[in-house]
Amino acid sequence: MTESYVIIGDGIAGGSAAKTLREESPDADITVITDEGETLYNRILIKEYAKGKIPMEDPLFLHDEEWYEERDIDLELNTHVTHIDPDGHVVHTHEGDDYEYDALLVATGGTPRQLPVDNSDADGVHHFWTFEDARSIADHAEESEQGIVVGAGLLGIDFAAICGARGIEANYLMRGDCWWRYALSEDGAGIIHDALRELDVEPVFQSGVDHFVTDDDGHVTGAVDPNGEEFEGEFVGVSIGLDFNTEFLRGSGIETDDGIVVDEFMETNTEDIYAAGDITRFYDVILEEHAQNGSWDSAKKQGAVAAKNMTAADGEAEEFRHVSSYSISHFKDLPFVSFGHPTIGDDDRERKYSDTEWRRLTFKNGKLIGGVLIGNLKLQSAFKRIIREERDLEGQKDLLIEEDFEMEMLDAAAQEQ
Amino acid sequence: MAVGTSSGQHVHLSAREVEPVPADATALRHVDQLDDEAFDQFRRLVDGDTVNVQPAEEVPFEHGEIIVHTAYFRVTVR
Repeated sequence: MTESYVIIGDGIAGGSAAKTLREESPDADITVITDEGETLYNRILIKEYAKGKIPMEDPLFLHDEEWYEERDIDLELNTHVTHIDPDGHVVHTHEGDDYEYDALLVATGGTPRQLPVDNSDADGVHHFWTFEDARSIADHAEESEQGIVVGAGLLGIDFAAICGARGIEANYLMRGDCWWRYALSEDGAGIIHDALRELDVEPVFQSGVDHFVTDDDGHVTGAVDPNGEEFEGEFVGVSIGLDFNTEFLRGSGIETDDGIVVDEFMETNTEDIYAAGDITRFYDVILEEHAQNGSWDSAKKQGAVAAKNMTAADGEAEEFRHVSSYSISHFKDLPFVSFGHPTIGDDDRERKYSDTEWRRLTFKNGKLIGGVLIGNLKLQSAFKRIIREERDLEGQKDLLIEEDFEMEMLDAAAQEQ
Repeated sequence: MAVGTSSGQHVHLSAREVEPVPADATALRHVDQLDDEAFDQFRRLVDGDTVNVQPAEEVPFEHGEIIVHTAYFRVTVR
């Protein structure tokens, strides 16, 4: 009997899973359902499109409709899944169609969260997740002069870069004392603040948004922060996180906890249902606890691992074992990468080497679990390897922040102990 | 302009900064799409360091593709 697989979501996790499923199961029925109206595109590079740096759209699509046809994969665009029936192994859509499955993958990602303040849905207040968002942002940014950015994290800084690239003078409203305060100290963040100012984006600390101000036509004209200070701007970018798209799972019995809980095999608590991508709270075998990750490489690999396990015979499951990385490439000659889990841990080390170079590493139970590198990425792969190898670093943590650190230094230190 | 080159048994690689992205560019990747080995190779190319190049079929770049990092780099594979 022909196996039948359904994937909900056509981001990189879903796309990677579709490709792997076809490779693993040449004769299976495969259906990809997405509520978006276009095929898989490069979600990392649409920020460059919004900046106006990559003006053409075609190279940003990773799959066209032919890609699905050539692989005999049924693609359902503009289709909302309303609920699933795990007992009957059926997916129901808003148009009343039913899709039966032997194994199901949920890779629906998230939706940008709105600020819970007045006028947060006004014209000119942008959220950034899809290609459609990028087009809308690009159109509006091109004609804007003053901007406001909200969200002092890895996604919010994309809006700051868009303002910089488009010549929009902007204020970047942050609640704390520095950008990405969960992973950076003021030393590290200071380098980013300087880089923002070079883009004509001014960081404003101990701020935020109390409410947005609009004109008579409902278009945003500014924001008032909790201190009562008003900032003008007709272009506003808000990135304060994602709400994961799990509404259609209500009543299904699938465990959720700010995302879908899966084990190291990407399987949910419900038989034959898997999840992959941003939406998962997955068991990280290196960290030895559940974790979340929004990076491209993590989503791509989770999709592939889930697909292999959807088709695997009993006892042949593959575990997800991966150290992710997420780069910010907006600042000329100032590379930035975060890798692994830089916001958690029980210990850390950091050092600033110059006005443009800084390193911070996080540890758990004596092992490296993550970090942030600013200004010099030479050690990125080495540190990721140390995490993968789960090296015991007790007594050696300081070596890793030596400016001229090399892997051989760890080996030598281990031999001396 | 950053230029990096390397010579190996089968191919010659270089990475050259381009701005703006050429309108005829068909292959674009962000640096986060590279695996660790490809990332290290790309970084050394951009830094102008020597790269030990593998056989042509193992090169992790397409000729002419643009890698998006802190600038846009066109990779040449010859």
